[in-house]
Amino acid sequence: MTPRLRKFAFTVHVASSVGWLGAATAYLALVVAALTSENAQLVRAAYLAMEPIAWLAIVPLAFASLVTGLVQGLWTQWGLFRHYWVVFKLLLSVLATAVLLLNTQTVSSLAASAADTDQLDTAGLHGQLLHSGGGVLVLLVTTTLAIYKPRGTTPYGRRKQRPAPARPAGSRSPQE
Amino acid sequence: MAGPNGHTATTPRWVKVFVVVIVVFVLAFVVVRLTGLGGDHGPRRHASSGATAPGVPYDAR
Repeated sequence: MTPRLRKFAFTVHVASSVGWLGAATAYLALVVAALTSENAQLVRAAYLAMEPIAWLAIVPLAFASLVTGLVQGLWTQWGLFRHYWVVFKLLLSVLATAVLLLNTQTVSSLAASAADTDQLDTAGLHGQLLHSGGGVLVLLVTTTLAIYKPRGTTPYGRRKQRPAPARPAGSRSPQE
Repeated sequence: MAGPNGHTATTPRWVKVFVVVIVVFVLAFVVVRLTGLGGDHGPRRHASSGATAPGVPYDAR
């Protein structure tokens, strides 16, 4: 990968990852507003706004972040399984995306209930608070890992960093 | 002990803490699912009973 392409991919990764966190926070704000407001119009509007935020912002940004993160890992020196922080970030991103995809069906059901009927499914809001709050927390952790990059190489990473043995037979390495 | 390139040969403490936290969360999730403490959960909740079943009247809010 050329340096220019690498920088572009990194920019897309940072933008999509931070955008994912921002969209999830906006979604959480709508859930909190719907849970706490006494204004029926505001609650209905929040239900209706949650669906496009989920499908048009959070889901595309999550996939963009995941794909560009894989590109960063596979085509740079970081790798996907060489450093513990990359492994954890990948695991948390995959987990968050999976939960997100399962939850979007519920979001659509909630929006449909607000659009088609004169009743609002308030029972589902507590689940939305748990999912979106947990999602924001996980994304804050992945962002922190990406910025601080805490030390620690996996056994696989240590093997990859070790230079190939090219010493004469019978000699001892400095570590021995 | 840190190696020549600054990397440690042993597993760092923060990794162990991370693993413990993740295991605790997974166990809590399994316990909630097995005991039913979390109530009816997931998108199927809406598929069986209809979208309005657990709701409250719109005007009551």
